[in-house]
Amino acid sequence: MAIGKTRGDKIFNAINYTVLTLLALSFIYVLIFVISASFSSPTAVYGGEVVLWPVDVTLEGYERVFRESKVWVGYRNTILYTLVGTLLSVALTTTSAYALSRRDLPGRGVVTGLLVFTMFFSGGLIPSYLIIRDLGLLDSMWSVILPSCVSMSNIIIARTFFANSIPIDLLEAAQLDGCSNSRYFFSIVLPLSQAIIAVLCLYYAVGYWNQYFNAMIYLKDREKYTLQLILREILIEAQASEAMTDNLEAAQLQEVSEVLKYALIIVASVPMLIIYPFVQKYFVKGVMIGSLKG
Amino acid sequence: MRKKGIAWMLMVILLLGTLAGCSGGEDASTPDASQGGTSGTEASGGSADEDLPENLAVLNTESDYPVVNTPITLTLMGSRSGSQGEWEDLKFFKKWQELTGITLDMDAVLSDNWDTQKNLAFASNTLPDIFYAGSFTTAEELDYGDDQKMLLDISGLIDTYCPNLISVLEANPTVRSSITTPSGAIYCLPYINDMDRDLTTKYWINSTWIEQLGMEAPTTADELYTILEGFRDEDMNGNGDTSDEIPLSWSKGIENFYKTTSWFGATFDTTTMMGYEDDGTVFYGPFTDAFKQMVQWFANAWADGLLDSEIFEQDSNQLKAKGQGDELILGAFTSAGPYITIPQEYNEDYIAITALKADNGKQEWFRTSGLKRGTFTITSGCKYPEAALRMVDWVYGKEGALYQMRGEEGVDFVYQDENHETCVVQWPEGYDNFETYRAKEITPNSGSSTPGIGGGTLPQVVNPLNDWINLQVETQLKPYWKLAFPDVYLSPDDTEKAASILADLKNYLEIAVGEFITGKRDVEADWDSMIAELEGMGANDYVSIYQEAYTNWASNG
Repeated sequence: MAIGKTRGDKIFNAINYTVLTLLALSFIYVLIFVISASFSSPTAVYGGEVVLWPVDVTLEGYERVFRESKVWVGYRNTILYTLVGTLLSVALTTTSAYALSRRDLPGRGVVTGLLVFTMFFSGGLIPSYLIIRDLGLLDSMWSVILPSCVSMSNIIIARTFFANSIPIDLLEAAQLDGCSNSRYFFSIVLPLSQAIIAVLCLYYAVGYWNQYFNAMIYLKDREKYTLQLILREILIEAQASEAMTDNLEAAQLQEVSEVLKYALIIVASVPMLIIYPFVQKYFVKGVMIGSLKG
Repeated sequence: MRKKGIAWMLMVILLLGTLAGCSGGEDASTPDASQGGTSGTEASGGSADEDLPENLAVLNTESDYPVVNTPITLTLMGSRSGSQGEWEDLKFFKKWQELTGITLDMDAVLSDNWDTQKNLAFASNTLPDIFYAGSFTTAEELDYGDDQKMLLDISGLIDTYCPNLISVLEANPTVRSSITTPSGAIYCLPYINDMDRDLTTKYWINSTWIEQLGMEAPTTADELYTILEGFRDEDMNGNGDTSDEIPLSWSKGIENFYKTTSWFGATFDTTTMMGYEDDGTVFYGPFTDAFKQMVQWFANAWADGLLDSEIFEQDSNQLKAKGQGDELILGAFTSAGPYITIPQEYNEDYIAITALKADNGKQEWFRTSGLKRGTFTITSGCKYPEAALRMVDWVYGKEGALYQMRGEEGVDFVYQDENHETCVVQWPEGYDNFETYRAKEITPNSGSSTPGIGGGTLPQVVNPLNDWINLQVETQLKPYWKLAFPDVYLSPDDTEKAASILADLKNYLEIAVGEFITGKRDVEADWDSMIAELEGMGANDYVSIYQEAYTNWASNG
C-alpha cells in the first residue's frame, strides 16, 4: 500500500475480481448441482426442477451404488493402481528429471530430444497393444500403470525446478565434503524438493485415478477393472438403449441406471476432492516454480 | 568429447532396452500363460482341411443333443451391454453349454469398447473360434471375409448342420439374399426379429382428447394438423389452463421427422435415406416431393406453436419427465409404447397414428426388415465349425429361441394355456421388471445383438399394456407396411464411398431441415438451393451406388 493504486489498477482489479468470481461461481455451481442431483429423485432432475438444492430428497442412488459389489472391487483396484503407479511415476520422474537438470550429464540433449519426441508422436493403438501383449502384460495391473508411467511434461516441470531452485554451489560444497551423486540426490535434493514432489504426486495420482483408456483396452478380467471403468459400464447401461426407441424392452431398461448417475459421480470424485486441499499449498508454489522460469 | 558422449548415451539406451525387455518377459511369464496358450492353439488350427476327420468325428450323429460326443472347447468373443451380468453366470450360456456338450471359453467385451477390441483382435490375429453378438458390419464381413479370409464361409455348411435356421430362411425368403455377400459367401448369421411392434416406429396420439374436440382419428396430414391445433387451443386436460398442453413432442433425433415422410407419400430408410419403388428404381428420400411437403408441414406446425419448443434438444428422459408430470400435457409423441412416456393408466388413451393418406395417393407406413446382420461369425481358425453351427442352430429353433429370450420354463416364465401360446414372466425380489432381471441373470438377448429369432412365433407374454401396443400396430400400421429398404451389400469400395458421401449429406441435411422447420430459412425460396447443395456433395453418385446394390440384391433373391 506504500504506492497508491492508480485508476487503471483499480479498474483492472475490479474487472479481475468480477471475472474470477464469475468463473469460480460457474465451477462451484456445477459441483453443487451434481451433489444436489445425486440426492434428488430422477424425475425431478429430468423435469428440470433441481436448480440448486435437492428436490424430493432420496438416498436411492447411493443405496444402489453401494449395493453393487463391483463398485467396491473398482475402488480397491483404483486405489491400488493409484498408489503403486504414483510411487513408481514419481520415482522415475524425479530421478530422470534430476539427471537431466545436471549440465554435466553426457548426451543430455539427445536424451531430452528422445523424450520430447514421445510427446508429439506415438505408435498408435494397435502397435501399443501388440507390445503390451508380447510383453505379456495384458490383463495385469502393469498394463494400466506402465504405458502412462512417465509424462514428459512432468519431467520438464521437475527438471526446471531442480535446475533453478537448487543452486549448483550446493552440489560443489557437498562434493568437496566427499558426497556422492546419489547421496546428494537423496539427502539434499529430495528434501529440498517437497513442493515439486507434492505437485507430481497430485498430477500422477489424479491421472491414475481418472485413468480408463488403458484399463479398457488391456484389461479383460473384471476383477481387475478400475473404478472409472465400472462407472462407465454402469453409465452406458442407459445410453445403450437410447438409440432404439422402437424396442419396448430396451426402453424399459433405460430408467434403472439413471438413478445411479449422479451418485456415482460423487462417489468417484470424493477421494480426489478430499486430497486436493492438503496438497494445494504445495501445488501453487511448486507449479509456479516449475513452469515460470522454464 | 561430445561424440564420445553421444556414443555412451546410445550404448546406455541400448542396454536399457535389453534390460527392459528381460524384466518385461519375467513379469509376464506367470500371469499370462493362458494367453499364450490360446493363441498357440489357434495358430496350429490354421487349416481346416487337415483336421477334417477330427472335426466330424467329435459330432454326435445319433441324436440332436449333445452336439458332440467328445467334449470340446470353443473360444468365444462377444459384445456385452453394461446391463448384463457376467456371461459365464448367465443361465442361457450355462444351459447352452450343458445341452451341446461344448465348453465356451468366453471373452465378453463391454459394448462401447467392442469395436476397438474387435479390431485389435483382427489386427493382432488373436481371433476366437466364434464371435457371438459380434455386430459385424457388412464392410467388415467383406474385408475380413472376402479379402483377408479370416472368416469362414459357411454357405456350404448351413444346409447340413443348421436345420432350424434353414426352415427360418425358407419362411423369410428375403433373408438369405441379405446375408449372402456379392461373392456368394455367407460369413455371418443374423438375428431375425419378427416381433411386429419392434419393426416400426409408433407415433401416439391421445384419442380421448380427439373425442373431446368432437373429431375423428386423423386420416390425412391436414386432419392431424387441425387436431393438433385443437390440442393447442383447448384446455384438454381440464386443469383450467389452456396453454399447458404440448400438441406434439418427441425426444431429439431428426429421424423422428424424416420417418413421417410416409404420411406425405414417400417411404425410405432414415439412416441411409434410401427408398425404392416397386419397379426396382431406388430414390434418395430428400429428393422427393413428399419430403418437401413434410418439411413444410413441420415448418408451419413450428410457426403455429404445435411443436414442443424443446423437440430438437430434449432426450427421452426429459420427454418422460414431461409425460409423467402432475398433469397430462402430451397430445402426441413417439416412443416404443405410450406407457414408456406417460403414466400407465393413460396407456389406452393413446392410439397409434395410422398411415395417413398422402396427396400422391399413397397410404403406407415404413417398417424395418427386423434383420440384424453379423450376429454370429466363425473364424477360419476354428477347428470345429460343424459343431459350432449345430450349436448355434439351437437358437433358431423355438426351444432355444425361447430360452435365449425368456429363460427357463416354470421358473422365469409360466404358460397360461394348454397350447402354450401365452405365458407370464416372473422375476425375483430386487428387480424392477423382467427386463432388468433377464439382462442380469438370464440372457445376453437383452441389450446385445444375439443370433436367433425374435418373439413373433413364440408364446406371447400376457401383459395388457403391451397387448394394447400390439393391437395398435396390427390394426393401424401393419396393413400399410412397406419395407423401408432391403438389407443390401455394398462392395468394400462402395461402402467407403457411400459412407463418406452420406456423412456429408447427413450433416448438411440435418442442419438444413432444422433451419427450414424453425423458420430460419424459407422452404419455398430456399428448397432448390438445398437440393443443389446435396447434389454437389455427390448425392447422385450415392444413389447410383445403392441402385446397383439393390439390383444385385433383387436378382439374388
